[in-house]
Amino acid sequence: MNKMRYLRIGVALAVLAAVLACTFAHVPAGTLCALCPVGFAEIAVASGSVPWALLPGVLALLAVVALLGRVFCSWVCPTSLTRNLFGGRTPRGLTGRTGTCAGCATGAGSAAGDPNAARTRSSLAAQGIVLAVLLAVSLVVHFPVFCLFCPIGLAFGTLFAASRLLITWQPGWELIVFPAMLLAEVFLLRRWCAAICPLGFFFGLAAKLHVRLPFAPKPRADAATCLYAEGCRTCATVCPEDICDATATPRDLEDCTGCLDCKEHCPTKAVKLTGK
Amino acid sequence: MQGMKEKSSGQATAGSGAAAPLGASAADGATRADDATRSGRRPAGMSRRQFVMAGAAGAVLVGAGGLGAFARDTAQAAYLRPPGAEDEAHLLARCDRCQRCVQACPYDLVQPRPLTWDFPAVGTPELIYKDGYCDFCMKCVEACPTGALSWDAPSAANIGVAKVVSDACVAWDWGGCTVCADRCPVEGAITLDDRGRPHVDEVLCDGCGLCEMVCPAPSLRAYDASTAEKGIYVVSRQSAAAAVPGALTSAELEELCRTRRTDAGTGTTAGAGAAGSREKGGSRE
Repeated sequence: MNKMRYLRIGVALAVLAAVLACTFAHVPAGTLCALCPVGFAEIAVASGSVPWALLPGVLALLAVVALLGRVFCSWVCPTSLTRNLFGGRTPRGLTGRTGTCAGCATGAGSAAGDPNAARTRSSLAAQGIVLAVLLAVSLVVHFPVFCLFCPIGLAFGTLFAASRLLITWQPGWELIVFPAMLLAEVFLLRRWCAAICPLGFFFGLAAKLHVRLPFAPKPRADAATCLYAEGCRTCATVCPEDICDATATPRDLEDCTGCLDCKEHCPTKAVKLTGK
Repeated sequence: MQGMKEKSSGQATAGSGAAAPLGASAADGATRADDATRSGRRPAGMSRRQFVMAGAAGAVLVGAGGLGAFARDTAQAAYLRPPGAEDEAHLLARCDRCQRCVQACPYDLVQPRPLTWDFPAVGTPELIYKDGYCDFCMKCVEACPTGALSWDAPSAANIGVAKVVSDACVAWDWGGCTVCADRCPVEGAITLDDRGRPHVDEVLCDGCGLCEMVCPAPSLRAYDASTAEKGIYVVSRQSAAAAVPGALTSAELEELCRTRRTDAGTGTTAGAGAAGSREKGGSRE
């Protein structure tokens, strides 16, 4: 069944729970915002000096993406958590799919086109435009403007508003506004991850390195057992990014978020995580 | 947004009927080139919808930035920030809302700002002396990874200044209550005048909040909702309330919102040097 999806929900919830536990135990571990490359850049331009103390955490996060791929996106990001929790049976991924693979034929077993040729790719250029605009705005208004919209920040904001409610008994509008903004971004702006998320710009660059690292794990179909030639498109159908593991180019694998749904659902267990 | 829904199959060329097993990258590349020519002026690799989305997001960010700057300007707020915060503008530019100071505070005094009209400040740290006071343990400053709270800021030894609320303070009209003066840890910061009313020495007070925490006015005046809850409040030295000499009335405190900033605000933080003499200040000069 959806074993991997429940596992991902568990991991993302565990991260939120860990941050809450740190808050009540007074351990200053911080939210994920302390690792954010976008926050790093925003603060640098908004305040006019580089916050060097943030850099080790930022580089560590990017190193994880370079080694393991965009695993942050599907395993930790509250955007994916929201989709996995409230997105119905087929939550969408980076490219905003609805659950039917674009290149897959409807009839089972019939030879269909290559799903990788038909899939929409995440766009570094679109994310780069957003990043450039938000840095320019932060420079002018002197506060990190994207932090007001970031789904990750909104999720943690909701969490801390709830904790503030418990500590000082002061309910705030953010308890309503933040979850509403989060849901709107995730479900109305279905291209959020592919076309807007400026964090995705940095992750996209790190993913370019990831697909070129010979030892970094990537999902590939073992040609000996893969049923692609017989018309099987299962991996592309279950993949939130429409990636077919049999024909994926490095460019396609850049969009892989390591959710492992393909590995779980492959009928012949042909999908392996290999370096090349 | 609805109009842009799921047209992804449309922008890609119709898949060639033949299934190309393992290594269809040549056909794939051709598809992409075709796609790029059709995309016209857009940068390569971006679909029309992605371009529209990115443009719309950029426009929203510009709008939010402008509205945020306007909100900051009209709110003119100076919140009571943790020790080590420079001025409002510096804190807001430097803080990445990671909540480490909130987690670090052993007394739960540091709390994220709630969402108000001054929305750019949401999530930034402020001090709430409801159930505790600051003993300058500086754990929040140690925890801050961005330098929004720093050791060398004047406020590292001087968080704010206590203001007596004349119509809420019990000693002010009945006399007899000396709780804040008795408990104040800074010698001479709260003195009683000849009628037994507390007065705050604005140079000596370092805004630790013990007086606000222990003020018994809420229980003694529980019948009177017209006054401020406590008889004494700590306000930011940059706030308009701090600029008013002596005690305030509840109405004045309300009007100044405990938060509004004075133009001369940053100047008053220079009083920090005096509070440095306090032993509790510890490691700072």
